[in-house]
Amino acid sequence: MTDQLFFDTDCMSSFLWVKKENILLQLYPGRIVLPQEVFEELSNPSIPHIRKKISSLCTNKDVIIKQIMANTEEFTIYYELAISPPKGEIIIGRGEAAALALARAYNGIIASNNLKDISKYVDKYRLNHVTTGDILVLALNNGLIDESTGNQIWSGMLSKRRLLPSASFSDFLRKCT
Amino acid sequence: MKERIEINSDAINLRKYFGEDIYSPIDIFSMLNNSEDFTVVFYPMSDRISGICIRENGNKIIGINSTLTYGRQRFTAAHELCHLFFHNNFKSIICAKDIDKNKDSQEKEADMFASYFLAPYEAMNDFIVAKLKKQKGNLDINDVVKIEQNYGLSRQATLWRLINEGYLSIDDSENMKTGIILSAIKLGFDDKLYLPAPQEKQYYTLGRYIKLAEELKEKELVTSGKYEEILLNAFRGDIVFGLNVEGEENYD
Repeated sequence: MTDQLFFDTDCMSSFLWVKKENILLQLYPGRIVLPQEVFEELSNPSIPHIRKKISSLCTNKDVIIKQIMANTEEFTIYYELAISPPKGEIIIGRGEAAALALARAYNGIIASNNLKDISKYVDKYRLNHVTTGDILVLALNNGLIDESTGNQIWSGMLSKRRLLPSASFSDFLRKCT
Repeated sequence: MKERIEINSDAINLRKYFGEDIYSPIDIFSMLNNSEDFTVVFYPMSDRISGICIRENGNKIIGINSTLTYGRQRFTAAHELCHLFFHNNFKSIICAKDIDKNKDSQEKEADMFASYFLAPYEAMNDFIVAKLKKQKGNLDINDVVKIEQNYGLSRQATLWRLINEGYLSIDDSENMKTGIILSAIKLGFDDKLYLPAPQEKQYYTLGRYIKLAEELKEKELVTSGKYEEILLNAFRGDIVFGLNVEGEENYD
């Protein structure tokens, strides 16, 4: 297994919106990978400050952009998840499909909060998986944040409609224990 | 090409179709948004293009060059309505910015339609005679400002219409093509009509596409990631991330 983390849009944007991308950079230096599809979603002109921030992270080589090339294992997975799923399966977002496909192809970790829609693929491809909550817990355990700061971050992420599983960071910690 | 009187009649009939009377100024974008089958996309285009329209499988899509002034964007929306309702045998049309210059008859007709849709012949004539108390040939810059402000027309569209109907000579119109904003704000008007969309609204989508995205989500036909992707494709980061909502809403 590689130790690269393949982020989907929701997970990466949750940190960018609350200006806490430094947590990711400190926890996972050189290991943060954005699929091209996620980079494009975060570069949307309707969110210019996020676009600027993600561009700066790329320029500084804090994050790595990875494309899915045709005729590769990841392309086959991506195509099946995001473009033409088998009958009865629902199309998932290109960003999360690309993150899943690349995590599978590179034996990496998928970083996504969308448990409802991707957990079956996490199981199917036997992927390691982290969520925004897991990352914040790691930050807490490493002394990067305290619980109170975690709650503030959590609240900021919720206000940006990110897919978090509980009302506060404290609630999440209680569920984890 | 249809006669002017026929185009004015088409414009009035379409106003009625949308529930608008023939005298009132209209908020064309709200009108389109209230209609079930329109999608309006604001997008910065080349400065030679005012907009585009696409008609396919029951969908009516209007693209507006958001770098042009708000008044011109309104005119473009009305222009595209003419194509969508009165012109046949097309899937998409790209429309040039300059009004009436070297255009084919359909484009000229759409320009004239747009003018009459935003300001029907009878309505503008009444406004000039009854409200401004003016006759053909003696309009000044203040009158022009009041006309364009009343009907939400760009300066180019206003002068073109007034010249076409003999209210203004080409010579008199020449010095009204500059100092546009100053001429309006000196009379106490807002400058919104003469400015492009603000940077943060130059990419934006309204109407049916957004309603369909919500429907897909409500019926659980797409994942939340796909729903957000669909909205971001329409430049609606404000819906995905709830921009400018919390703490900034007023109930008054």
